[in-house]
Amino acid sequence: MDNLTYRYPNGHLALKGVSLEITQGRTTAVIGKNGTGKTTLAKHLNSLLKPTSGSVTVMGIDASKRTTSEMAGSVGYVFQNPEDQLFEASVFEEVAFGPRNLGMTKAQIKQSVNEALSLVDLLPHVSTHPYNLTYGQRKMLCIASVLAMEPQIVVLDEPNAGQDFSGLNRLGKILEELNRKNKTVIIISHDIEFVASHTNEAIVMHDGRVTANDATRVVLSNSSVLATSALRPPQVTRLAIRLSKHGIKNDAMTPEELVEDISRIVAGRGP
Amino acid sequence: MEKAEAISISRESRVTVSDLAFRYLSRAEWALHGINLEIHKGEFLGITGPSGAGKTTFCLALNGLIPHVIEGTMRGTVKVKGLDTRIHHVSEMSSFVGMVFQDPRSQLTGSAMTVEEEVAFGLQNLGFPRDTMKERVAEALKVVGLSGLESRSPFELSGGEQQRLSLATVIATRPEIMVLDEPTEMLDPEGTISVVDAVHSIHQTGDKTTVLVSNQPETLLRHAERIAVFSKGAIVSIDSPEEFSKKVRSLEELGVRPSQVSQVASLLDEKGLWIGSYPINEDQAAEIIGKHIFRK
Repeated sequence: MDNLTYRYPNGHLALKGVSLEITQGRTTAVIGKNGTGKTTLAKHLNSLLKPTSGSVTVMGIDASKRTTSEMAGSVGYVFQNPEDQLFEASVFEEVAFGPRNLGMTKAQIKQSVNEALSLVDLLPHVSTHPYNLTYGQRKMLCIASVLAMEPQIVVLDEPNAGQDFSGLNRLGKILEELNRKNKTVIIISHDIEFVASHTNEAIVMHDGRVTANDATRVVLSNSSVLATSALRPPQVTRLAIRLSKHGIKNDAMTPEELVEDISRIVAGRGP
Repeated sequence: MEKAEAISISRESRVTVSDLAFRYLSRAEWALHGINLEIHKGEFLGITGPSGAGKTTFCLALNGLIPHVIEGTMRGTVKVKGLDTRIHHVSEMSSFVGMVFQDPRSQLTGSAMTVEEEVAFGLQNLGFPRDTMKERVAEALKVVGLSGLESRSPFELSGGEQQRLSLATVIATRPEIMVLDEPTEMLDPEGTISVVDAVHSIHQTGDKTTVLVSNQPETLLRHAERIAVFSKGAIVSIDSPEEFSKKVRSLEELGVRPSQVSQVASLLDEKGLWIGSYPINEDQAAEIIGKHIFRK
């Protein structure tokens, strides 16, 4: 993105000159308070929104010169609110819609749908009407619909909201699988602990601008950058920062990392 | 004596749930079965558990929506301030039980043109005089951080703002009992803390009783005096925050997210570096680890 600005029709200037590069094949988090422009930014990736000024280039293509449906094969966008996305009468039909529109054969459609449903753990519900799924399941269904089209870039807008613990674990596995397939994933999320353990890079947004864009580890251990966006590091990272006076590294991203580091210091002390 | 027991013995009961069971119409399985719980006057009770465990169903039984509005079969009793919810209607219960639903859109009246009207709606229904209403509305909007949005349409608000609006409508009536079903799902971390702290400060004014459902461990551990864990329609445990923090593995197996500091304590224990107790927040964790491991 190069000096991207976006002003909504009602006059609200949501993006105030954003320039950044998102690394291919990595999982990048976009974090920041509500209303700072995260969704606005993400919607430029599949041309749902066109820049007011500046440019957005996706895989070498100028996104402002393409329609959303032209971008759909390469950029999959999962909305924050499942109601904005779901419209078919069964789980299968919902997920098959995209592949069908991309011109896949019946056999290819069936395979893509089954793979996607398996990844989101909705295979048992293949004939269920989406209304009869729980909120968390409907969000998973939206993810499956996008994954079935096998886009190179996947954008997930707040996939964590409304998920219980097992849903979050499932989401983690989905990200691992996408990473394994070398997909470029962008995830907007408030769940800082999840971001710490599942993303490689993090972009912090504040008031329509990017205030940090670096490896997740670097961004999430920087309390002052986070504080300007009213964010805090994950609990375990805050604990690591408190313990850094004892020689503990201040950038633990998971409980496992912190415990490894504590063990390292204890072992180094000798008997 | 454990803190959880101490609470049970010293305070009078506000809500008594006896053998509560509920099955939604045209569903085969029971959403709740054999629920027994006493919620005490002045208590701040946390509730957690995986999706589908029955937490929302339980909340709906606390103000009479179950059985009067939600169709299904109810067994057992729920008594709120001594009143049996099977006999007393929702409108009566609503005068002292305020409920915030998980989905803010299901809470909007649909008849209010503005945020201000939405918040005033409940007060009107309770017959408040106009001047008092204006004060209460302004105060409630301030508490939830929506001052300035009085003339906006409720439907134009973002998900997070709608959640705050739902909370404001309940706060405005200052109910004796507040039941909040995942009221911070769509809020950012700062919003979550400010809303939960606001709820707690209201709780502390005048003997209120609060039930807060959340699947975020830090939110629960922040103010709850007891935490009830629901799983598959039953309450599997009710613990003090300290006891809750110990149960890292069993909570994970139930599909409940433990706090990161209690995970750290558990992993240290596995490595033979037991720190003496399970911390409930990072202050405690830093202190305990400092003392036990670094001896400082």
